[in-house]
Amino acid sequence: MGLLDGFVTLFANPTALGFVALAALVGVVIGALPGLTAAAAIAMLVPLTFYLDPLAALAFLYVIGKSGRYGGSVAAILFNTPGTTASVATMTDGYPLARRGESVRALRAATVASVTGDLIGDMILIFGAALIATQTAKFGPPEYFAIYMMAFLVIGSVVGKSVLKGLIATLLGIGVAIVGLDPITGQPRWTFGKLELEGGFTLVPLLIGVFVISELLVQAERALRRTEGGTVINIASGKGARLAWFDIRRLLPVIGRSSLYGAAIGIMPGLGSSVAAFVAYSQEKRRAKDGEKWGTGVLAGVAAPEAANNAVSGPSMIPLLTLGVPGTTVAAILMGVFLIHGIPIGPTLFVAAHDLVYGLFAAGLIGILLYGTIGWFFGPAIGRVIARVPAGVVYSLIFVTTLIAAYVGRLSLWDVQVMLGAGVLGYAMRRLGFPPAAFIIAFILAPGAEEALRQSLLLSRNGALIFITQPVAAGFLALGIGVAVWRAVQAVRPSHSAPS
Amino acid sequence: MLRNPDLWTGLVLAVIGAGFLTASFDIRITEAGLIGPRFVPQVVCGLVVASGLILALGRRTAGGESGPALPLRAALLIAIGLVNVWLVPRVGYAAATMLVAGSVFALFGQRDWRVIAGGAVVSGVAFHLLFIELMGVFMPAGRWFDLARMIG
Repeated sequence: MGLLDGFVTLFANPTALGFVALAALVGVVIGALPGLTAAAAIAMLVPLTFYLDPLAALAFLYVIGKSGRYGGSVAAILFNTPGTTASVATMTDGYPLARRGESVRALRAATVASVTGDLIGDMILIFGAALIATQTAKFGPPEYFAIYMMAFLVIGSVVGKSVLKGLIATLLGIGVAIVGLDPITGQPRWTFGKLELEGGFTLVPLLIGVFVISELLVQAERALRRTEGGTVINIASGKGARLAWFDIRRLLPVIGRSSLYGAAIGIMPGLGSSVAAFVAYSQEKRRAKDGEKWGTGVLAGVAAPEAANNAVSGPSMIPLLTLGVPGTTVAAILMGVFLIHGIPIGPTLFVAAHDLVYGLFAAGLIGILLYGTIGWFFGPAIGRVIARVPAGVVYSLIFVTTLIAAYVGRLSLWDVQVMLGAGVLGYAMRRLGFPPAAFIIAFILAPGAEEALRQSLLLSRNGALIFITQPVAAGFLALGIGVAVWRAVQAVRPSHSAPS
Repeated sequence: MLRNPDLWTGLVLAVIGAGFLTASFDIRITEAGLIGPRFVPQVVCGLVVASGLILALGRRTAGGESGPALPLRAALLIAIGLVNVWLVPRVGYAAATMLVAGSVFALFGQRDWRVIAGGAVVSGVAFHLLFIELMGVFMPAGRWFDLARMIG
């Protein structure tokens, strides 16, 4: 019944429906642009959603996240350039297929896999999230603090290559969130007498700076010979263009299993689409009878990572909607949008904003069908257009857009300066191996974590022991510490030869 | 050892952490005592100092993305952004955007001055129409002059 209510809510809101359709197209195009991730695009578009109602704003950004994941396959298959990090695995077999004149067949296999994976992931979200939320609604401040700590430890230790650097990035995010007035006592903290700092740092300029500006800085360093467009693979017609029903039937078991890998990985904070894509690719290659041919242009080698990649989308929202903990960058940005629109995130969301949540689920399902349709019929055409536009022009326009996007939130040029500073920080983090995603997620979670900590310690008669005497809190803390220790041990252990 | 970027990064982090730890003593203690506004800042700073020292003195960790030793083009892009912040209150949004857009087209490799000039003008007009006129974003008029207000 909840999902039916969601469809009614969505169809009663033509603006939201229109933005879902727009997001399906925009996401595919953005995902196909090399260098611009869906998360970066969403960060840049957040200010534009200030003028929309909550459902339209959230649906727009949520569907861009989905269609952006799919759009990465267009660049991977046609240009041998991953549009997103998750589409690197797709490139392995996708580009050889394109070179053989089977580009349309490869794109359509990617479309079927992405749509199926995304639908499976969303079903798990829709039916799983409400169930989990009934349990998490019983949690109090100690449990919430333990969940936040688990998130800091897991995300800090899993995202990026170095556990220590991931945890440092997390600490830096918490530190930046502290600047401003203490939310409980109103004491200025690290404001150094500067009026602009009393309001603290807001999410949007930091997001755009860390993800978009840092990427533009990287691209500026590579821009020396970038004015010409890329080469276009010859889009074949005839036999190379058809994806037969026989092909799809053979791919269905691969797609089904890969979707489940993706969904399982999506639920766990910090792992994300690229991990899911590679896990699915390697597992299916191992199972395949013709595994030795993978890498030379096998349709299943495209379907497996694409199904897993897109199956992450729905389940990655479960920790956000049930615990208030974003497990991926896109989820973190959506959390920011919830907060901007004054909607409290967490298990009470399903009660307080029932129509909004199920409207969002409905928007996701409609968005999947729309981007699938766009990709099936227009994927090659989108690829051709993108190849002809010089990347330098695209990056220049994106930079000019960020200058106004950062300003729009508080009509403040100070925020534009913060964005530029965050861009420098994000660039430095990327060059030095610190994961920017851990920084941003920690920034978003820190205020809630501090509030939960101080409430818990004020309530407790045994001080910090409250986090151990409450079993659920102790469990989450142990999980976070366990994952961090496991990752640290893995990092220290000498690496074995990588599986082929 | 001196060429290890982790050494310098760790030391910088430790210094920054120590600096902010010192600054945190300016945060007044309230009736809540230890568990007040000063608690989390000091814990975070302590952890940053400790982890900075571990990074500096420990094993070399995985590096990040490669790039030039002196990222001059990246610095130039940031400088253009800061020039934009300085220009907007003086010449208005439209003119500032034209100048910035032209500079950035050139930075990203465009060499034909006609494309740069044309692109700059089109960008300035298009962004003004989209954000200021259509979306109604408030932007104060330039103190020296404002191209948009001069035209219409």
